[in-house]
Amino acid sequence: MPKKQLDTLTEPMYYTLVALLSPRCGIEITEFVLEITHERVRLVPGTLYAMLSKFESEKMIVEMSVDGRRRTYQITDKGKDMLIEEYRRLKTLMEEGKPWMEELL
Amino acid sequence: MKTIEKILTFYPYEYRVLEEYLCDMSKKGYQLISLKGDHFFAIATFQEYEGTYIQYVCDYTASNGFFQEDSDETIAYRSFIEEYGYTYISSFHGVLIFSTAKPIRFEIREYHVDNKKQLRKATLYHLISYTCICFMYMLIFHVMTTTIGDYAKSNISILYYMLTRVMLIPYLWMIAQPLLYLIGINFNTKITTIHRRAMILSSTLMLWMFSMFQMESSIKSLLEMFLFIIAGILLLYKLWNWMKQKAITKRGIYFALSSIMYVVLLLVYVQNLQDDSIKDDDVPIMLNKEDVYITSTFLPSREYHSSYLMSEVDIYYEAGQYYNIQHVKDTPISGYLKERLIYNSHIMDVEKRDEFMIYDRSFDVAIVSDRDILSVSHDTYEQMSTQDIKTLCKQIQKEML
Repeated sequence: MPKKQLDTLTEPMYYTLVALLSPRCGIEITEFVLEITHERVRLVPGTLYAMLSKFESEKMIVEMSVDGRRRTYQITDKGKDMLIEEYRRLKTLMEEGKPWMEELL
Repeated sequence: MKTIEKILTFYPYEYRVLEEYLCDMSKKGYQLISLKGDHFFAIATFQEYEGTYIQYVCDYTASNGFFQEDSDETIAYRSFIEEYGYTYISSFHGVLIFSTAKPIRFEIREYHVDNKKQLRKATLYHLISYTCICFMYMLIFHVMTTTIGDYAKSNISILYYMLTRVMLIPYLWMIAQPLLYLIGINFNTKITTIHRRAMILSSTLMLWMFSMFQMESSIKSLLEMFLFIIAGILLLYKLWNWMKQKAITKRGIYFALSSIMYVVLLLVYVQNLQDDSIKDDDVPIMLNKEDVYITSTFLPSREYHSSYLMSEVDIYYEAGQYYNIQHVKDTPISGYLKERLIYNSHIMDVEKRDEFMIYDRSFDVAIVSDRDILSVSHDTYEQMSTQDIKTLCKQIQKEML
């Protein structure tokens, strides 16, 4: 049975791909995501490794270098397209819901 | 520095219990040096230490496959975790053990959030590997019992005995809990459980060893069997070390060795079933147990007296004191013939009860004297005169003498 393609990105996936717009290794991704989300999203290595493996098999990221035990990854064009698409989707959701949602805030 | 060893038995889904146990030992001042073992036990070696408290964190992976050696995927995962400041210690059947002397900044997994699919897969792999190993031991044991000494005569009953009492009980006992886990029933395992389980398993294996002595056997054949096991283990150990030096990947070695062993054992097993070999110095030539027939279908044409024809097996038992069997009772062949009579055979006295004729289903003929068995083809037999057969029997007897 072929593996299911990624349709939409979860929050940790989204931030991981954002982190990989520049080459980063595992712990750097975790620290980056922690920083930009003000410690709201905490990517633990067990989860992150599975996610990176999934992205790699989908060719959304690529391994750049191996320095000792450190492996550095970066986003590919396919990954960028997916990220942009997700960003647009989130933006559309925001804009379409804005007239009604703003009143609630 | 004092070193102690503890025997543990645990499954991948019990990794948190193991973690708790290792941290407890660390609080008592013992750090884990290594965790090795086979499919039954894990032997944890601890060493006394002083200084900063070492915390242990256990994790699991399902990418190891059926056997214990870490796959490339697992090695990559280990390195990934080490980036976060953990030190890899050891692994055992999909359970990975890390330690850290620094305060943990990032947990390996979110606590109480298990990847159940992966955990179940790791447990399943452990079960499959355990099953393979158990049955391989059972197969080895069976092959040994059917090829060494007195066991050869009752291999079917020994197989039954072995399956029901020897390996199956500890095997079923060991797989019960993980099987329940796999179907969704989980027990709250405690540290004491992983200790107690090892103790129960060891005592069951002791019982297994003891039960071997209860079987019909002589000290000599038991000694032979143990020597056989020890020789086999040493040989494999040497082979393993030699292959490791040749830098072949461990996984490849394991796979190759297992495959060769399985094929060889299966061949031997099948061969045993077909041959029902008797390793007795006095009976150098073997016959197939399924094919042995002593019949009257063509013997009357050779002018043999049918009055000596032996009855079928049920009648044989009723008339157990039958003259022909009594006559050869104390010869090496007689015991063999008695065994073969179970297979619905007939026996016929050929000439003054010195030789016996055996006619088999595949149209090969065996001439049996009280000293030896000789197989000749049916065609050859047909061309032989009665006198030829007698001469041949006498010739065999002379050669044997």
